[in-house]
Parts: sequence; structure tokens; C-alpha cells
Amino acid sequence: MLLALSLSLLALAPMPAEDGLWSLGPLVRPPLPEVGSDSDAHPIDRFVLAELEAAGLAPSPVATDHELLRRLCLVMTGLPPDEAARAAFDSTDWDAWVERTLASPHYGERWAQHWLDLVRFAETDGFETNTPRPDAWPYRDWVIESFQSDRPFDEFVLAQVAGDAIGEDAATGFLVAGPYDTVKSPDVVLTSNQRQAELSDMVNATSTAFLGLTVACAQCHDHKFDPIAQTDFFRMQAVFAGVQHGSRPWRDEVGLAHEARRGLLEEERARVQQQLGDLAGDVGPATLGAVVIDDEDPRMRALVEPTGKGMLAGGRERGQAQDPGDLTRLPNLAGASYTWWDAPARTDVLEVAPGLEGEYRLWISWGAGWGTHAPDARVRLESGGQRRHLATVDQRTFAGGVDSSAHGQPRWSGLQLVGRVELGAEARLVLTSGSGAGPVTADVVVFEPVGASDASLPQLRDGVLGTVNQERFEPFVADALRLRIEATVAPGEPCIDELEVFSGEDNVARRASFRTSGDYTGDPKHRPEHINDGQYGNGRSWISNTRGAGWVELAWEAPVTIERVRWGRDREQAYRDRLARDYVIEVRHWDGPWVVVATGEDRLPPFLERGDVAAYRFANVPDPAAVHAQVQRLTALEAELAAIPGPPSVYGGRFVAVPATHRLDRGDPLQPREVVAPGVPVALGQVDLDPAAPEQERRLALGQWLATHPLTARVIVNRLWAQHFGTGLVATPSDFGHMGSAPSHPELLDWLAVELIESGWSLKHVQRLILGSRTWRQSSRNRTAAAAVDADSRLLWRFPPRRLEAEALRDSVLACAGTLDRTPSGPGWSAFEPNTNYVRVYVPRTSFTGDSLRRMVYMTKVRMEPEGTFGIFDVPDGGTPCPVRGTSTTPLQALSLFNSPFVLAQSQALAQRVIDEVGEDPVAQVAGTYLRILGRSPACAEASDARDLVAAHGLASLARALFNSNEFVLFP
Amino acid sequence: MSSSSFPDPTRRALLGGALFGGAGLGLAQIALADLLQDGRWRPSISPSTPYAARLPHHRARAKRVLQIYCTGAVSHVDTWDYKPELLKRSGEPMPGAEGLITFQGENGNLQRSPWAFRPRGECGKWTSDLLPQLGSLVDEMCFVHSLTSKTNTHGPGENFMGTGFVLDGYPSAGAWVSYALGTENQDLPAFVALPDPRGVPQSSVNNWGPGFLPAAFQGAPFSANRPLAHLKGPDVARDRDVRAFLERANERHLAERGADSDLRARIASYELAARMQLSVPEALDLAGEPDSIHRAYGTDHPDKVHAGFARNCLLSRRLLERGVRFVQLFNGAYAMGEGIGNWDGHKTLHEQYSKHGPVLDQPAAALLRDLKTRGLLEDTLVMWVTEFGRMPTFQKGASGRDHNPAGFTAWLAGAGVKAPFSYGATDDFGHRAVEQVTGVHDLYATVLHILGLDHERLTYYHNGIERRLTDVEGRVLRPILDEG
Repeated sequence: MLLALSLSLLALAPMPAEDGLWSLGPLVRPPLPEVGSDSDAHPIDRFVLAELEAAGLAPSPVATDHELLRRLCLVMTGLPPDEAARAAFDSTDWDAWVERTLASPHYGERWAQHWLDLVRFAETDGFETNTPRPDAWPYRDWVIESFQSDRPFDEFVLAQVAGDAIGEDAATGFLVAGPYDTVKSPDVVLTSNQRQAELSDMVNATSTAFLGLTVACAQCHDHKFDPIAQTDFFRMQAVFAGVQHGSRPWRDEVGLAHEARRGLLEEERARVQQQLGDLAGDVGPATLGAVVIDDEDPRMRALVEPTGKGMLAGGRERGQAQDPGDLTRLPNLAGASYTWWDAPARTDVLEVAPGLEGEYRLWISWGAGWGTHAPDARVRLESGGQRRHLATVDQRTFAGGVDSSAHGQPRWSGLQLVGRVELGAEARLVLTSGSGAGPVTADVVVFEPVGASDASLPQLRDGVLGTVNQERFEPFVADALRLRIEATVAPGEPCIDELEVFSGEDNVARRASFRTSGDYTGDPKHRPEHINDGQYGNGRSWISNTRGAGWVELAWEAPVTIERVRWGRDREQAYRDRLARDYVIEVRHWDGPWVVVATGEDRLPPFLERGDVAAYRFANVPDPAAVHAQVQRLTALEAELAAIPGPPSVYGGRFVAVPATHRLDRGDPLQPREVVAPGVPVALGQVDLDPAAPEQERRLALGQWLATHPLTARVIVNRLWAQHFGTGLVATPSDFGHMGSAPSHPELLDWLAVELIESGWSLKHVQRLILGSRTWRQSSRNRTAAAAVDADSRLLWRFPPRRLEAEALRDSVLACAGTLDRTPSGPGWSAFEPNTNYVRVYVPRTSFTGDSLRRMVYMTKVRMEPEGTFGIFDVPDGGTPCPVRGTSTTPLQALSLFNSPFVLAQSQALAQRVIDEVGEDPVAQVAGTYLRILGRSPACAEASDARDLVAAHGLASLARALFNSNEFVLFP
Repeated sequence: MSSSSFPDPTRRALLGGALFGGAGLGLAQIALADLLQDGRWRPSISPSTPYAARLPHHRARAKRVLQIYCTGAVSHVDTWDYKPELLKRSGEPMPGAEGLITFQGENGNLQRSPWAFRPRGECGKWTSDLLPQLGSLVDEMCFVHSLTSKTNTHGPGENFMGTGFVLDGYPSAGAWVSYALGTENQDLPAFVALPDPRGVPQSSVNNWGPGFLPAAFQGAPFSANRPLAHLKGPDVARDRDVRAFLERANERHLAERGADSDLRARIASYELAARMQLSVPEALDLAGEPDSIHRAYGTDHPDKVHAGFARNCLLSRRLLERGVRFVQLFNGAYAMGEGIGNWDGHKTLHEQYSKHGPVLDQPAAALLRDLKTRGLLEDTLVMWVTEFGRMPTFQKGASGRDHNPAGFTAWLAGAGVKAPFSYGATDDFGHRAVEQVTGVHDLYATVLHILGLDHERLTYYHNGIERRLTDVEGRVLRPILDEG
């Protein structure tokens, strides 16, 4: 994958020890030191012994088998050894046990956590809203998989900086793993400071994680201690200048296959559409002007009090509430119900006053499905003093008199064409009950202007959508346009994210002035000027100040010819409340009258779409059979396309065209100075990029440079060392500069770095070396004399003891109790109660079942808010990169581990399990509990002490005590 | 300590990131840390007693801090910052503010406060009728009228007021103080954060979090309305026996392994926890307070929020008198939305503040009086803060004020500050700080100074920088100090 990379050391040009900084010195394999005590020793031991001997210290003896196995499992997998491992372990076969541990599926989970700390990974935005990022987890899984499969580290580095260039989409989660302030404002000072903070975070994460250099310290001025100029900071910033927080499609293997298939189908669809166009001639939806009047509409008025509503049966069959329709019938237009009357014979029950003038085709409908409905209800038209009988309908059947069998459930009849009617302004339609007394029903009627279509069904447009709606009409020369909203799909003030008005392909709304009926205030997301600002989405929208109504008027200084309008509520698809349902679009020229060019009346119910197929009208088609075949093919294509799952997304950043990067005086975005080309700190090397280099090229160049830099190797082997021993050879693993700590064993560090590179950047190779050393296997017991010389065992005269991290602690409790759910990968589990508040509020949960018994690395990591029980054990908050976790000891930790519902419940679970295994014998119960938790049998004194406790307070109390014991909580 | 044998050339390097950090027995290393070669100062912390009271840099005027933190941004021009010119020119456009865009966008005209101002106290300082009881205590207060913030968004604004940084991830002021000074009562947490009865503030945990400081120094979040998590075990007698067994088990383990300070620290933490289990409920038990005190604070108020905040005020006094180092008392919460549960009065300022004012006023005034009566103000520093101020204009099309980080008011009271006293000023309308312009870092430099700490010497190494509460800024506001 890294074509340009040579793994030969020759490729690593000797670095100048600039400014005397040791970490920038040339990387060469150091000779193994001669040590007096053991010349056959493991290379690592020779480096360590040399320093120990110099300090007059001796190493400790090898730890016991019990300690070794426990240490190996906890350090390498974060879980204690299970019973089978304890039974089989043999320290003389150490290398095999090392291999077995490195191959454990829990190895990757454990080591990924260290990396996730370092890159400030969390699955919420942080700051005020701390909104979840539900698609951030693929990065976590990618890191786990990378460690598990021993992905070469150079490739691991490159993928995180430029994974999109090498087919590793999830990897760039690294770039945007940090906090992101989503509270935006029209205030430019705030906005530019926010952006600068994002970029600084990316530079900081990249330079500390890979190079161990604090380049971000040079944002305001040249680095005070290290050879990093302020310009160097902005060189690196320029690399990320086109990276924005956010999600993009995640093209994993399956996704890529889907994408390819989708491409083929879309190509074919375009061909079929083209052919259909050629065949059908008159193609494409125009705004048709049909009028749909439902029984809920005020234009429909009962003359006799209705008996009730017939609620349509649920389902997708003909006439049922969710009937999607097909080529021969429309989807359910009737809403949820029809109206019915238990009426005497031949009674006028309903009138419809459409208020339309002109010639229309009329369709009527009713409630069908019951054999009791009137077989001969009548419909007549009264217009201009004339009464005209229009139709007699059998309300037992569906429209057209088909399917007369009673379904025994209320359904919608569908539309029946009554014929052409000539309407005057006062015209009304009247429904009369049947010749016998009994139920008569009424539902939606449709008027379609004659000439709009001669299809057997009215040509209704797709229902309004939350995303975008289009209106086409005859070109009109206008100097004003208004959109009047008269009803919304759900109660609330209507919202429009953008109103576009087209003259050809030119959105002339951008040049219009605007007025509104009144504006919802108090939220910067919703402002009147967002109506035509060219930006989509709820965050840049207008909301009226009146429930269910409002208008927007655009005006032009010079008249424009307009023929198309597009409007939406939220083109980013997050919201579809506040959506206009009933609306009128009008235009006018000079002070002429307002002319209606589009309304919502010829639309299907909200959100219903007929799709492309319905868009083709087949008037005067010369070859109906050919059209039919093509329509069938198109239908099949649409179905197949619809069945392909949309690409999943990953919070891996969005890449946009790069703006120029300026050096900022004092790091202040309001004080830009000269333009800076993308690159790397001069003292570290050279990456030549043009100031106008394309976005991805910048990151690719940086990633390839980072992946081959000797400092990268030194930094990562030190991190590995730190997680094996608690402290790195360099105690400040993300700071190899002057402010950082100098290495305790500089030659050993270089030796490990060279081993890493020569092994093809295999982390597991370096870990094998470390685990194989006697240094790592020595006892952790204290020796007073040695401690007097080196209290912290930085020279490694013993294995330095330390507390388990929160994750290892929680996972170990679950593993011992036998309740650990080992399901890997996928979306995380939540440590917090479901939210019921106006904003996201994090209330820690106290009861854990189901997926919350998975490992903690699979917990959805919420920035800032600690998990309720174990968060207090120095879990980093995700605000800044955490290269070294604290190992505090606090009374609040003691309270948590001693009293939390989690530990009490797991103690109970463990006790029950032991009792199930060994029965009622208290001696066996005590022994079983020790084995499960500490992996050993109790000594005599312990056993009798424990039996007393169990006798008084039950076995769970013993488990609770042992989960709190130093022996359990510390690495042995 | 072991530094003599190290290949490391400087103690700084040794004491750097590894302090509490990955260096296993982290806390143990600190035991000797004190004055470093470069003049920086670090507290000397024993792992077994991380909260032991520690000496400051210089003579401290205050031993402890009460921070009354009103979230949502309290309007200074409706409370403490009297502007006759704003009264006079209400309804006119604000000069020089044409086209001014603030957080939520455009602004309308200047708008006088709906509450009248009048002179109060012996000093005759003018404050508004919104907070009459606190206003009656102006003789105790040292106002800073020229504060500025670096952001006009609540989350970053609270971060800034709470941690000295607008970004997430930095230690809270209370964490810095307990890191520096430990505490006087080992049976209670060094730092307690009392969230508002309505919930947590915008930046939530950031306000009391440890950031990159050791977790030991974070605030314990509990209040009279919200228990300290995991304080109570299932059964007192059982808990005692289990703890005794645990201690014997740990002692056996320790004996076997040779003296190890980290093991001792864990044993000690359980002893401390056990004492906390007794002393926290004792501090929380308000039943023993006389009726007159309850009435004065308003714990019996029919409005639940009012009564809840009053209980928190009373609890604050009890914590302070028991020696808690840093008490952070919140007024206002985020969960209910803009302006409903906090001071974010964008739309209908009069309606919103008419609810919030009384909730704050009586209980906080009672607390201040009570501290004074008991002599606690002698060695307690009170700081009343909010994340930023509000505009002297109403927002366009609304009856409320937008955010204003360019000038706002905080006040201090008690140990170490002059009172009555007013420092700094905003312009004629209260829009921008123009005299003795002050930043949040200056405020904290001053607070640390009063606690006996030099803000430039109180540092902690993190990711390449010796971090401070005051970043790279801050100067002690000498004119407001009571140097007596």
C-alpha cells in the first residue's frame, strides 16, 4: 500500500540533531552493551542490566507462574486468565503463551483503548450540546482490527491521515475524533475562532500522536523550547485546511460492491428514461393544477350530521390505509377515514363547494368494504341554477364497480371518474343517500382542469417532502413572488430552509430582497435572511412566528422570467416537522394582480411519492407495447435500486476545497499575515507542496512523510513500552521535545525503533521482544534497598506495580462473575439513561444488562461525562489527547467500587455462579470465589477469615471484598 | 526519592507528565515535589493523604472559596451595572452599533432595564430591584464591572469562567485549588460542586472536572437535592464487616509484598471513604438547623426550585464551616432550554428574570449574611460569577438581550478584598468594558493570590506545556485587594 516507502534504513536520512534535541538525532542500531552478570541475556535485558549495574542495582527474580500468567493476560488483553488457561499454563513454554495472548481476540480491544485515549476519541461533540455522533464507532473498530491484525504501523499512520485515498474510510475518524463546537452564530469573530480551534486540534493530535512533538505550542509564537517555528505550525495547519468535522459515506467492502452495483443500475435507468422520453414525447411532470378535496376540508360540508367516521383498515392492500397504489390506481388519498351517515332513503347528506371556475374532470370516492353500504348513492351537480345528475355509485364496491365482495373491513374505494363538468363559481356537488335507508359514505373528490391530461387517473404530483419540492409553471415575467403557507403537516410554525426561484438554471432568488409575515426569533439557526442565502438545512432556515401559517415574499428590482421554484424544509433530512402542506405560490408583475402558479392541492398526501414511473404521461403514444415494456423495466430497476442499502456513514470528516492558509499573528484568526504553503516543520524534514495543492494530496503527502519518519518509530515503540511497564523509556510519550523527559535508556529506545522498522513496522514483533525479556517477567515485589535508590523503578529493578485502568477493572469484574458479553464490534452501548430532556443530558445508568455487559471499549464514549461507576478511575474526558493516564487513588473511587450497584450486582452474580458449581459447602464456596476472582486458592488464614464473613453476610460479600482488594485491582 | 540515579538531567523532566501519570505509583513521586529549579512550584502530595492541607506560596488571606455561579449569562445592566445614560436613551439606536451582529444576529435599540435602580447600603451603590436582598448587602461587595470573556457562546463561556480555557478538557478552578492546597477536613471532599435543583449547567462536568489533573482533585458533585453517588452501602453492619475483612486482606497482601506506598494509599482511601460516609450525610442533614435559619434562606418556600436552591445555599454554609476548600454553588441549569432554567434571557427578559431573580436573591443573600454573622467571611472568599453579560439593546424583534462578552460584572466578597468597592467600568450603556478592562484570568490570578498562591507558579505539565489556570495571561488586581 505504501508504494513509495522503503523499509530499508537507508531511506531514513540521518536527521540533524537540531538544536541538540536528542529525539531528532540519526536512528541507527546501537550495539548491545556488554554486561558482566549475564552475557547471553536477551538484548532488552542487556540494555536494562547495563543501567542497573551502573546504579549498583540487581534485577528481581522472575515472578511466580501465578503472577506471570495473570500479568500476561491483564496487560495484553485486559482480562484475567480463565480457568482453562490457569490449568494449562507452563512458564517454560513462555513463547507459546506469548503467541497465544497476541492472537487472542481481546488483545486488539485492549491495545486499541490506549490509542483511542491518545487521539482524544469520543462519540459526542463536546461543548454545550455534546450531541452524539452515532457513526463514530467504525473508527474504534478500525483501530481494534488494526492492532488485532498487526497492521504495519506505517500503514496505520498513513490511513489515519489520508485513509480516504487508500480505501480506508473509517481510519480518518482520527482527524475529527476531537471536540467540535456545533453552536454556530452569525458573529464572524466567534466563527473564525471556532474554526481555528478545530484546525489547531488536528495539528495537535497529529503531531503529538505520531511525532511526539507539541507543534500546537507554536500556534501563537515560535515554540519556546523546541525547533518549531510559528510558520511550521501553519504549514501543518494548511495540510488540514480542507478537513471539516462531519460524516461521509463509509465505503467498506460491502458498501463498495453496493456502490458499484448502484452505478450500473443508475446508468441503465438513465438509458431507459431516455428511451421512454423518445417514445412518450410529452414527458415530465408539470404543475397540473388538480384540486383534491378531502372529507376533512371545509369546502366539503355535511347537510345532515354524520353518524361517524369509518377508520380505514391498516395495511398495504387496495383501499387500506397504507395502500401505496400502483400503475393502475393512486395510493390512498383518503387519509385515515371516510365519513358515513345512517341516513333515511334519498336524503341529501353532503355538499362540496369547490370554488373553481372552468371545465374540469371530476373523480369521486367513498368508503367501501361493507355489504350494507348504499348500492345506489347519487351524485349531482348544481351550477348556474341547473341540477345535473352525474353518477349513481355502488358504495359496496371499489371504484369502477370491481371486487364487489364485501371485505368486512372499511376501505377506501379509490377514485371513480365521473366525467367532465363545467363549474361556475357557485357550483356545488351534492351526495344523496340510496333508495333504501342505511349507510351512505363520502370521501375525497378530485377536480382536474381539462386539457392537463387525459389519463384514466388524475395526474397528482408527489406529496410534499421535508427535503425539497419543485414547482414548474409557464414562464412568467415577474418582479415579485410569494409563497403563502396555509397549513403544515403537523402543528407548529412553518419552516423553510431555502426558497429557490429559477430562471433557466439561474437561482434568481439569491438576488431578491425579501419580506416575511413575521419571524420566529431567539435562535440563530432560524433567521429570515436564511430564506435565500443559498444554504440548506435546518441550521440555516426561516421559521414563521405563526402556527400553521406564514408567507415569504421575494422582490426583484428588475423583472425576471421565472418558470420553476424549489423549496424545502430541511434538505439535510434531519427534520420534516413544520413542513408546509397547503400552500400557494403566486407571482406578479408591477402592480398587477397576484397570479397563482402553483399550489399544494394537486399533490398526493404529504411524503407520498409515486416515483419516476408515475411521472410519465402517455398521451398520443405511437407504440404502446414498447412503452409498456420500458415502463416495466424501469419499475424493476427502481425496485432493485431501492433495495440496495444506502451507504453507511462514518464520522471521518468531510473534505472540501481548501482555502488559503495564512500565518496568524499571535494565533489570532482576525490577524492574518502571509500565505503559508502546506508542509512539515523545517527542522524535521521536507515535504514540498504547492500552496494550491489539492486537499487530499496534502494529507497523503503528510501521511507518507509521517509514516517513514524515524521519530515516528521512536515514539511508537516508547508508547508500547509505556503500556507494558506503566512508564515509557521517555516518561512523556507525546513530548519528545525539550520540555519532555529525556529517555531513561536511549540506546534501548533506538534499538527497539530499528527492530520495529526492520520487522516491517510490526508492533507485535516489538511486543514479542518485550514480553520475552526477563525484565518484563521479573517480580513486582518491593525491595527496600533498591527502592531507596530508585523508588519508581525507572531503571526496572522490579516490574513496577500499578492499578488496572477503568476498562480492565470493569471488564475483569464481569469476566470473573461470568457475565461478560464478548460480542465484538458495531455500535456501542450506552452508559447513560435514555434522554428525555430538551437537550442531551447524561444521567448515568445504574442497572446493567444486555449489551451493557460488553467490554468497556465498546461503550459509546461520551465526551466530558464520565461513566457512573468507573469513570472516576482516571478515564480521560476526551477533551484533549491523553498520552498517559493518571493513576489516582481517591476515596470516591473506593465508594464507587465498594457501594456501586454495578459491583454489588456482579458480586451477587458471581456468588450465585459459585454456589451453582460447588453447592452449599462453605469451604468450597470460599475456595471457588478466590479462584474466580484472584485466580488462586485461599491460604488457611484467609479461608477461615472468609468463611466467617460468608457465614455472617453471604458469599456475595466475600466477592465484593475481593473485587475491592489490592490484589485484584493492581497488576501483579 | 530516586532522582539521583537517573539519566535524566533535570528534575523537571522527572516530575513532568509522569507525576501522577503512567508512572505507576504516581502519587508517591510527588511527595518531595516542591520548588522546582525553574521557580515553578508544585504541591507536595502524599499518596495516602492526597487531600492533606498544604502550605501556600505566601500568606493566604482566605482559606476557602465559595463560588456562586449563575449560568446562562446574567444581564449586568439589569442587576449590578447602573447606567443612567441607558435609562435616558432607551429606545434610541445604540451609537456606533449600526449593523452590529452578536450571537443571535441583529440587535434593536437601546433598552432600559424593566427594573428600577436605587442606591443601597451605606455606600449608596445603585443596584436594581431585581435582586433587592443581595442589593442590600452592597457594603460587603467588591464589584468588578469591567470583566470580559473570550467567547459569546455558553458552553465555551462556561469553560472559560470555570477553567480559564474556552475549549473542553482543562482543569476546573476548584480542581486547581484543591490540587494546590488540599483541604482542612479530611472527612469531606476538598471540592464540592452543587448543581442547581433544575439540573447541570451548560458545560456540565467541565466546571468541576479534573481535566488533566489527577482525578483526586475533581469536584464531588452533590447537593441538598442530589446525593453523592455510591455514598451509601446496602447495609451498615454488613458494610462494616466487609470493609474490615477487606482491610485484613489488604494488610496480609501488603505484608507479603513489602512496604509499598501505593498499596498503602489504596488502604487509606477506604478509610477516608468510610469517614466520608459518616460526615457527608452529617453535613447534608439540614434538619438540625433552627427554624429561623430555614426561614431566612427560604428552604420552606412553596416554589420547589426556590426551596431547592435555598437548601443548597444552606448546605454551602455547612460545607464551608466544616472546612471544604472550594464550594461551587450553581444557580441555573441547561436541561430545560434557553432561558427557562437559567439566565439566558433572549426573548422575554422581564418574564424570565422575574422568575429567576427571587430564586437567587433571598437564599444567596441569606447565605452571605449567615457567613458574615458566623465570622466565616473573615477567611472565606466569595465570588459571584456568570459566563458573560448581555447587551444593553434588545434583540431585533424580541424583548430580551443577546450575549455580550465585551463587558460584564462579577463581585467578590469576604476575605482579602476591599468592600464596598467598585473596580472598572463599562461604557455609558454597559456594552463594552472601557475602564480597567479585566479578563477572567485576572480574576483568577487575584483569587489565587488571596488564597496565597502565585498563579504563574502553580503549574502542571501536560502535552508539552506547563499549564496554568490563567493560561499565559492574568495579573493580580491589586487595587481591589484588602492588603490589611
